[in-house]
Amino acid sequence: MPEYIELTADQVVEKYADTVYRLAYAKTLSRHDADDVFQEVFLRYVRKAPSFESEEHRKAWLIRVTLNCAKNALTHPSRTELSIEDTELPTDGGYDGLDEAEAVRTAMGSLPEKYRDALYLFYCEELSVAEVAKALGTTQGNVKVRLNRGREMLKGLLEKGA
Amino acid sequence: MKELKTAYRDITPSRALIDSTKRSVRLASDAREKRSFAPLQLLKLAPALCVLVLAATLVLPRSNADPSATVPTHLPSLARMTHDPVFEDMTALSGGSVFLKAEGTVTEAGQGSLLIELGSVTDSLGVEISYLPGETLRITHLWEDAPSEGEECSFWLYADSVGESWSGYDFFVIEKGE
Repeated sequence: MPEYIELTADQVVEKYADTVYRLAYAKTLSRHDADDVFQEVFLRYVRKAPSFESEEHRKAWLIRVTLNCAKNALTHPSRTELSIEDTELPTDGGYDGLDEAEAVRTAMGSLPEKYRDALYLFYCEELSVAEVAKALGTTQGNVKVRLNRGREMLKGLLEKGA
Repeated sequence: MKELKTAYRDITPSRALIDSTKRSVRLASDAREKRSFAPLQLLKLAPALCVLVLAATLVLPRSNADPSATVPTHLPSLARMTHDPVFEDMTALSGGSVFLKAEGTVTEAGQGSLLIELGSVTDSLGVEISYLPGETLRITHLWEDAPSEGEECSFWLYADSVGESWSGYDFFVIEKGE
């Protein structure tokens, strides 16, 4: 378990920049929205000045707030519909023109939100099932179900699109 | 799933975004520090204020004094609530709303605003509340954007002034209206 040390706000931004940004992007599928969410998350961190028991606790707080801010961004009335370019959706119905990483991100983008969130946090952020459950506000059993179904759906999408 | 682990590695924030965010958080941090120092500034002025109050008491005619007036005995401090608020009721209403009540005992005087988190959505109660030790704090809230019927949720309360949170009980949304 990483030792918990006090960090300045600047240090927190540097340390968790990639984690927050990638999650925001995975949720919103748009760099423009991810930029907004990124700023909002760290501003909330400073305004609320939460106290943490461990570094995991700080990371879990940032992940949870990123999920909330991204969800808010997706439902904000001023948000415009995403263009094909924004979402990287394949225009020919397959993933032939995309590299492997783009193909996986595109397939992930078309999964229902609850499966995408669980898969992303478990595989990309390498959180445990218990941590994913806490971040998503659900039970560990539910997370396992989401991971199973999500994996099957993702596999199906990639095979179909290849 | 090996591909999934590396699929997002190239997605990184630009240096300009990181630097601009750092500038914003520094400004927000400075503003927060100024606010938290305000009570200290008042304390520094306390001796001068005492002299003024004493002088006014001696100079003003006694008949003008309000017998019910009391001198504040404490300045606002940080608020604290028990870590185990009791969630009394969770009732689904029509229109997709959920009404909930929480109750907790205040252990330290103070004031702040409350934030509520239900499922993966955050909402502000939008109320400033003052707390007194031993007082029972009751919160009622109408949640307008309730999760789907049958969805399992958790409930959190945040007191802004201390940034603490109290994790609530898991519950199921039993019914969701049209």
